Amino acid sequence: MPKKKTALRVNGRQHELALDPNVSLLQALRDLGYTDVKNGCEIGECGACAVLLNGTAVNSCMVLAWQANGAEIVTNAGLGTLDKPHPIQEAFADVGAVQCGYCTPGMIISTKALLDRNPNPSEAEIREALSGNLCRCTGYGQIIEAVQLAASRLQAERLAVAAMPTASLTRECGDGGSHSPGGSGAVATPQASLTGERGHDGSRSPSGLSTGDRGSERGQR
Amino acid sequence: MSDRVTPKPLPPHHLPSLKQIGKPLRRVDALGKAVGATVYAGDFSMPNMLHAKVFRSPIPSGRIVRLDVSKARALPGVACVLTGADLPNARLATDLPGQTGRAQRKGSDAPVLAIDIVRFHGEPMALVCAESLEIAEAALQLIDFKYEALPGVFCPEEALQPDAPKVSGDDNVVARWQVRKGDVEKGMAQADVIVENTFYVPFVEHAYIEPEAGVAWVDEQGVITIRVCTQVVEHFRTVAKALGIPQNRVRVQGTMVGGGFGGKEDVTVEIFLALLARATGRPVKLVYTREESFLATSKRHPFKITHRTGVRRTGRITAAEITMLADSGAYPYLTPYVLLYATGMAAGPYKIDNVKIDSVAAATNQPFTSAFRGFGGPQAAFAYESQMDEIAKALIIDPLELRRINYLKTGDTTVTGQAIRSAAWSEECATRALAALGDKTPDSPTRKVGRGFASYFQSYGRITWFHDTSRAWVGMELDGTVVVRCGVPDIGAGQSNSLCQIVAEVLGVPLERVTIYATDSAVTPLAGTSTATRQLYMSGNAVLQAAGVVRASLVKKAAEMLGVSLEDVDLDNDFAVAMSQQGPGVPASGDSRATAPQSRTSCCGNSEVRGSRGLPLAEVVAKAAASGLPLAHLAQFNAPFTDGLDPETGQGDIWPDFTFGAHAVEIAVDTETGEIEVLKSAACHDVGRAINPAAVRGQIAGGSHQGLGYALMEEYVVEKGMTKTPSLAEYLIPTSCDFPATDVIVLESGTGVGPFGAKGIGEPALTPAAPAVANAVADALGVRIFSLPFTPEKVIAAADAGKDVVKPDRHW
Repeated sequence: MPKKKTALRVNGRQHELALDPNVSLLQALRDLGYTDVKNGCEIGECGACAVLLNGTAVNSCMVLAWQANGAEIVTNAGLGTLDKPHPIQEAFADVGAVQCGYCTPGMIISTKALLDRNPNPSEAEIREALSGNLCRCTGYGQIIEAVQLAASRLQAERLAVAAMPTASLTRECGDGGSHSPGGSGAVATPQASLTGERGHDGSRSPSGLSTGDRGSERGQR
Repeated sequence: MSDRVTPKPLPPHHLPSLKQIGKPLRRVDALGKAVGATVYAGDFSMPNMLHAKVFRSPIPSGRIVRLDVSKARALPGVACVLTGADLPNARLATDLPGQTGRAQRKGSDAPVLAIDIVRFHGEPMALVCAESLEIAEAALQLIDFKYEALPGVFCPEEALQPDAPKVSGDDNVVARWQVRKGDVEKGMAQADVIVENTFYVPFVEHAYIEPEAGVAWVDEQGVITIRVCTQVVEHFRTVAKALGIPQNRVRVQGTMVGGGFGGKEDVTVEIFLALLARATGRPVKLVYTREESFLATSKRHPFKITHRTGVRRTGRITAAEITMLADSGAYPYLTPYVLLYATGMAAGPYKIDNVKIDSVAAATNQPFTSAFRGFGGPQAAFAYESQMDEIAKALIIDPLELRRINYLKTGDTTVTGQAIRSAAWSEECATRALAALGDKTPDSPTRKVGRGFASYFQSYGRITWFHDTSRAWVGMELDGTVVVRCGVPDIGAGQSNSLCQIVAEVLGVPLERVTIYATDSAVTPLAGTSTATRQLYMSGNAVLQAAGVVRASLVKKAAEMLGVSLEDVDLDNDFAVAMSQQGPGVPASGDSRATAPQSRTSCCGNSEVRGSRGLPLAEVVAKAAASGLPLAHLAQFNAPFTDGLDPETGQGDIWPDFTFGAHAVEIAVDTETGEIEVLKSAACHDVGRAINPAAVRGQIAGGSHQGLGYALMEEYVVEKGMTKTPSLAEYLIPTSCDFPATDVIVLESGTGVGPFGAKGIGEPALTPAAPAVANAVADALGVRIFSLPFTPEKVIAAADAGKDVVKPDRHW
C-alpha cells in the first residue's frame, strides 16, 4: 500500500507524515505522542478519542489520518496545561467531574465544541452534546455541573475582557484555531468533509459525536 | 406506596468539626487527569518495545487437536510465540489476591494458556509478540488451530446434574455455603403467611472506558517490571508463581486506573507480559481491544435466588429459607467469596431469628465470573428487596412499615450471628430517599407512574479471616511539605486523595502541600487491594497512624518553641499555634466548617503572616530535624482477625463492619412501547464520615447510575457459551441522556471503623438502585418482573398479560 502524505497541525505544532491509508487519526495522534487522546473502543462508540478537527468535535478513531490532511487539530492537552489549565479543565477538576479520568479528555473536547457554538447551554443541550461520550464512573451529574461552571466562568472572562480598553484574549496556547484572534468567540468553519462512508450504523455520522443516537439505538434493541 | 414520607429524625450523634476532613476539596489527581497529563497504562511506551497479541479460543468447549504456530513464528518481525505446550507448569492462581497470609483454595488455579482443553469463548491459547502491532495481528492469523468440539454445559442448573459435562472437578461444584440459625421449621409454623418467589439476574460487564493494558520489561537487576492498570499490585506474587521465580524478582508498577469496578482485580495482562518480556529480553506492550476486554475478563455472576419467607400478620418476619445458585463460568476465580458475600447478605438488613440458606456456585462453559462492584451484594439485594415488597403486598401493608418492623438495629445480629456494632440507619436513609422524591407525577393515558425504594446493608473491608493488612509511610520535607508513600491503587474513586486529605488534616497543612506516591509494589509500602471497599478503611487508618507519629514530633518541638504544654499545641494551615493564646491574625483551629481558614497559603510558609503566637510549620520542621526527632513513619494497620465460619451452621463474623442506606425512584412505564423512564432518583447512605463530600457524592451518583443500568439496560448476552454482545454498541451502558442525576443525601453517623468514623461507600452505592426500580415497576404495573434487566419486551409482556413475568429470556 503506498503511503499517503499527510500534514497535520496538532495543538499548534506542524507534522508532515507519510502514513498507510488505513491509519486512523486516533492512531496517528497517539503515535505522535498525543496520548491524551484516549483509545476506548476504536469503533466510535465511547467518545474517549474525541478531538477538535477544524473546531468540530470528532471521534478520531472514525477519521482516517489522511482525511485530516491540512486540518487544524486540537486535543485536550492542547487546551491547557497543569500550570495553565483551560477554564473547562479547571471546572472539571473543581466540581468532582473527574473520577478515573479516562473519559475526561473526550468530555472536555465535546464541552469545548459545545461552548464554542453555544456559550450558555441548557442542561438538556449539555446532556445531548455529551451523549456520545461514555462515562462509567460519575453518572454524569458532576460533569454537567462542570460544563455549567465552565460556561459561567468563560462568560465572566469574556465580560471582563470586553470591559478592558484594548480587548484581547490572553490564553496563549491551545485554543488552536477555534477562537478567532479578536476573541469574538466565533467558531472556525469545519473544512474537511468527513461524512458518510465509515458509518457502521445508518443513524450516525462517523465523524461527529452525533447527538441522541445511542438513545434511538436503545429503542431499536 | 405513601406519596409523602417524613424523614425520621437522626439519633443523637457526635461529629467533631475538622479542618480538611469534610470539605469538597479538589482531588489531588483531578487536574492532571483534566489536562490530559496522566499517563495511563496504554499511554506508555519504551525504546525497542515489542507489541503483543493474544490468540483466544473461538469456541466455548473443545479439545485442542492441533495448535500449530510455526507459520506465525516464521513471519518476519515476529519475536516470540508461546503456547500452553511451551509453559506446561504456568498456572494462574485465581484465589486470594492481595495482602493475606491465608492459604489459597485447592483447585482454584487456571492454566495461563489453555492446554488440551478449552473451556470458554475467549480463553487464552497463545501469545505473540512482534516488532509492530500490525505484524502481531498478522501472526495471529497464521496460527493453525484445529479442534474437536466437546459437549458444553451452559446453565448452572444443568451443570449440577450427574450426567453433565464436567468443567470443574467431578461435580462442577465450585463452592457451597450454608447458614443455619434458629429453627426454620418452627419459624415457618409461627407464620401467618408464607411468601415464596424466585429471582434471576444476568451476566453484567464492567465496561470501564479504559481497556486493560500494560508494558513489561526486565530491569538492570533482572527484575521483571510490569507497568499495568490494576486494582492489585500484590499480583507481583501471582506473576512470580506463574513464572516459577522468587517474589522479589517481579515488580508491579501500577498506574492510574481508568475504571476498575472489580474487573481489574484478577490478573489480566500481567503474566502474558512477564512471560514475553522474559522470553525476549525486550520491553513488551499489550493493550486489549474493547472486544477482547469483554471476552477476556470476568463478569458479574448470574444468580437464581429463591426466597421462602414466613411472616406474621403484624409484619414481623419469623423465618427465611433462601437458596442461591450462581454461574461461576469456566474457572473459579473469586466465585467462592462472591457467593459467600451473597449468602451473608442474603436476608438483607433485617433481623430474622430463624434462617436457613443454601448456596452453590457451579462451573459452566460460560465467561468466568468474579468481582464486580458489590461482590454478590447487588444480586442478593435485588432478590431480598423485591421479596420484601411482595411480602408487603401479600399482607396489604405499606412496604416502609414492613421494613420498619424488621430492620436490623445496632446490637442485633446478622444471619451468620455477627453483631452490628455501628449505626444502622436504615429507616433514617429510606425515609430521606423517599421524601426527596417530592410530589408524585400523575399518570397519563399511556404512561403509568410508579414509585419504589430499596434498603440494603453491605460490608466494607475484606473477609476478616483473610487477616487483611495495609501499610503507609508519611514524611515531612524540610520546607514543611509532606510526602505520602502507599501502595494503594487509585481506580478513580479518589483513593489517593482521601489519604492525602487525612494526612493534611493531621499535620495541619493545606491539601496542595501533600504529594502522594502510590501503587508500586517495589517502592511504596504494600497497602493491599483496591477492592472490597477497603482502602479508605484500611489505608486511611494506616496513614492516620503514620501521620500521627509525625505530628507528635512536630507538636513536641513546637511546644518547646512556643513555651506551652503539648496539649496546647495545634497544627493548622501551615502553622503551629498555641490554642490558649490564639488571637486575631492567627489561623483558628476547631472552627466550624464554614469559617475554617481556606487552605490557600503560598508554598513557602510565609513568615509575614505568622502573627505573634504562631510558628510557621517549616521552622518547626527544621528545628525538629536538627534535634533528630522522627519526621517520617511507616505504619501498618491490621483489620480484625477472625478464624472463619462454623462449616455446619455458617455462624461467625465475616466482615469488619457494614454500611446502610436506601435508594428511591419514581419511574414511568410506557405501556405501549414497554420503555421505562426514570423520572426521579434519590439515594441516601450513612457514610460514617465523608472525608471529601464531592468524592462521596461522585461515588453515590456514579454507583446509582450503574445500578440503574443494571435494572434497565445491561445484559451481557451469552448463547451456548458464545458472547453475543462484544461491543459498546451491543452491550449498552447509560449515556448522559438515559437517566436523571440521582439526588444524593449523605448522612454521617461517625460510627464506622474507618478514619474519623468513616464507613465505606464505593460498592454499596450501586446495590439498592436495581431493586428500587424493580419495586417501582411493580408499583406502576401492579405485576412484578422477576428478572433483570427490565427490557421493553418483558414490560410489555407483563403489562399485556396483567400478570407476573417470572422467567428471564435467557440463561435459565
